[in-house]
Amino acid sequence: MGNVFQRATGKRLKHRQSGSEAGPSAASCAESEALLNQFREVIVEVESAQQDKKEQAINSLKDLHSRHRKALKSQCLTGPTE
Amino acid sequence: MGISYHSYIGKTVDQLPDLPAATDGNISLNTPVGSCVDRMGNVWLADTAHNRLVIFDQNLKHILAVFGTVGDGAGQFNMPFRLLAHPDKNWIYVTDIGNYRIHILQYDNHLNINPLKCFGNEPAVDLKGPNGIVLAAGEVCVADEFYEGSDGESRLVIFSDDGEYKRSIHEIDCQYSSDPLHLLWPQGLSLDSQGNICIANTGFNTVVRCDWQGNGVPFSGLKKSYIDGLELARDVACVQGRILIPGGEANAISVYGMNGRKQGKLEGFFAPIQITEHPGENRLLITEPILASLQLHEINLRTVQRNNSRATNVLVSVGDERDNPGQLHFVTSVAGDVVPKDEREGYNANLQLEQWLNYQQNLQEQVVQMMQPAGMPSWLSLGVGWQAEWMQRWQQSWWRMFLGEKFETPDELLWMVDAGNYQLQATEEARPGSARPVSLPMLPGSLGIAALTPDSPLPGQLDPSVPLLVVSNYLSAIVTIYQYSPILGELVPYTVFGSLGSAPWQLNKPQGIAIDPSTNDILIADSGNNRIARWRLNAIGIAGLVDTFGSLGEGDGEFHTPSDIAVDKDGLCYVTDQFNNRIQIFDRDGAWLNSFGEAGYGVTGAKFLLPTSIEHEDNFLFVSDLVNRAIKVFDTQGNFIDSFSGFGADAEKGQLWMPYLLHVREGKVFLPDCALNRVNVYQFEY
Repeated sequence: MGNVFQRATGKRLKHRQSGSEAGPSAASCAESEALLNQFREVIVEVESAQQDKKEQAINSLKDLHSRHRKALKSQCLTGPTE
Repeated sequence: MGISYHSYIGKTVDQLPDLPAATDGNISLNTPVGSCVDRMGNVWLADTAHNRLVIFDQNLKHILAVFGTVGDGAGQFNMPFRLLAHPDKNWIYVTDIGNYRIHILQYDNHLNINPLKCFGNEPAVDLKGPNGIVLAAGEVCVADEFYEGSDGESRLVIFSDDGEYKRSIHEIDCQYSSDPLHLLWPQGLSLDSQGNICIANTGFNTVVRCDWQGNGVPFSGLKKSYIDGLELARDVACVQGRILIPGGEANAISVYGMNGRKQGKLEGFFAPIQITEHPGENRLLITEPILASLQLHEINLRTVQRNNSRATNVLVSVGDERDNPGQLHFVTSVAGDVVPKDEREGYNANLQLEQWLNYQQNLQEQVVQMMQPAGMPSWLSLGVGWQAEWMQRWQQSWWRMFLGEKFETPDELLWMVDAGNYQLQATEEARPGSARPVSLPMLPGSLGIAALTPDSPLPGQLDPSVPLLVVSNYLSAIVTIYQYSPILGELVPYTVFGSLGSAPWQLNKPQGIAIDPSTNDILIADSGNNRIARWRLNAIGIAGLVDTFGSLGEGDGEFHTPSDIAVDKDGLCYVTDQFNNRIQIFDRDGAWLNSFGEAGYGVTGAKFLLPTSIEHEDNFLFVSDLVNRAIKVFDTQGNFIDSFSGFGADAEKGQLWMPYLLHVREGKVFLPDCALNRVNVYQFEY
């Protein structure tokens, strides 16, 4: 008992430690960083719009929407192709 | 003192019109797994979490019949998993994994279906997890996934084609080595052209080949009886002179020659499982359980060679987006609590206008579908599908804002990450149809959630009475903190941090999140970096990294995929060290204190197989143990107290298939099951 589990666990660990498991690509990392910055910009817009009225808030959110669409369209958004 | 099942959240949408009926617009699937083609060319699908089989015409344009209900009687299933058509008889074999048995169903030309026999659950055989199934020369072979041999190994079980037990294979003998191969959690099976059995040996991430006596059959290009170096081996299919391995690489189907050497991959998939040859030339039926979809693809596998990547053409995709009101799609985590109220007082909605808008939306969806021609490459189909769904989520958000739909008491809600629908849903009550969308669309890959109440209102915080919600994204590795906008009635982003990478301030595959009650810090199980990250939101609402601890390994304080974390009032951290099958305990500075647990089957005690999630409340630890399908309760020293367990898809019994990140509030244990698409609610009495 336990032998098979230990061997299976050890095999997985060895595989990871060997570095043969693919990590995130440079493109995905860059895209993630860009997305983070887009988020930050939009949050500022949303916050400022919220103080006025609903329409302005919605307009800011539309901006967020279009930016995210661009990220999706770029096809290098992290996953599912990675 | 004990834990018991209470109820669930997540509506079941399984009704069908009078049959036969057009497939389009008439069916919602729930984590479909197996498929086969009968002797008349009809396509049978195991709609696994709906506990039924659905039969389509060859082109998947019409639903012809449906068979089965939940239960353990004749013609009833508990997770029908894999299907196999007998080549010479009008029989379909169904591995009924939650009932530990195999059905033989007989059908006629009019698709009248009769249960002929069940086998495999007799005491002399006692299957523990019948999964993949193949047939040759009058014998049937079944992968018994959760069978526990003397060394923990799984087995293959051979029956006659009418279900008489013949023998079991516990190890694969190899001519080239004195050490036999063992199986651990074998899933899919497939036959090569010689009738040898290829086995997706999931626990070892290999594909093993043997004959029907358990003798290894080496691959000529490898000189050994197994294919190695796979990310995951959840299934195998020998098709068109190639060996296809879904999950061999992330989001792809790996393609190997029959000599065991890699030829390339089919890209553009999410998490495909079963591949079945279709009668049409170069056509494959592929199930995508997480996408709740059965797809018909076209690909000439001879063009996959020299390690290239190819996209298939998607000819038909069956299944909806699982975004009907109250329905969940790949629900991964929850935060908050349920506080029952009268539904009409709790949620403002203009029902007539909503119905009209839903009608308009359905029209738009049909237009979008018409704009997606058959034969689109698989990667493009997946991408367009995502964008179309994304658009719809935004439209739905606009409509909710336009209609002024909002919860009356947003400070008293249970929040759920409805990852497959790219949104958060919320509910006030623990009942099936009560969930409602409450957030702007989120990026694909959202996973963990935790509620954070700052010590004092933060600058720019729109409604301090509603907790901030911290959401991790597994794919982009961005953590978003959402706040409730009383103007919009929606959750909107407040701040973000993270990003993908291995630098200290970055994350990789973040999963569970916990809030340290002693500091209000945000702790994140950074599973891809094998560490825990501690972040803090300062008094002006800016997130900063405090520290990280842990690294890859199996020693004290090391992790192999830490998936979740819980923190007690003194700041002690409890981590599910998933692939090391243990719980590790750290002090508030990240210094290792203790561990408990070891690998093994069992629904009581501290034996774990992939412990996935942990929560702390009132000096009790609640652990979700994935393979054992159990919620185990311990004290903080690791002493076992009680458990609830059950493998299956019976909603009335609180059974589990793929439980993810659990959450406990005042004794109520909320456990989202991302394959069953519901949040089970249990009660712990103490």
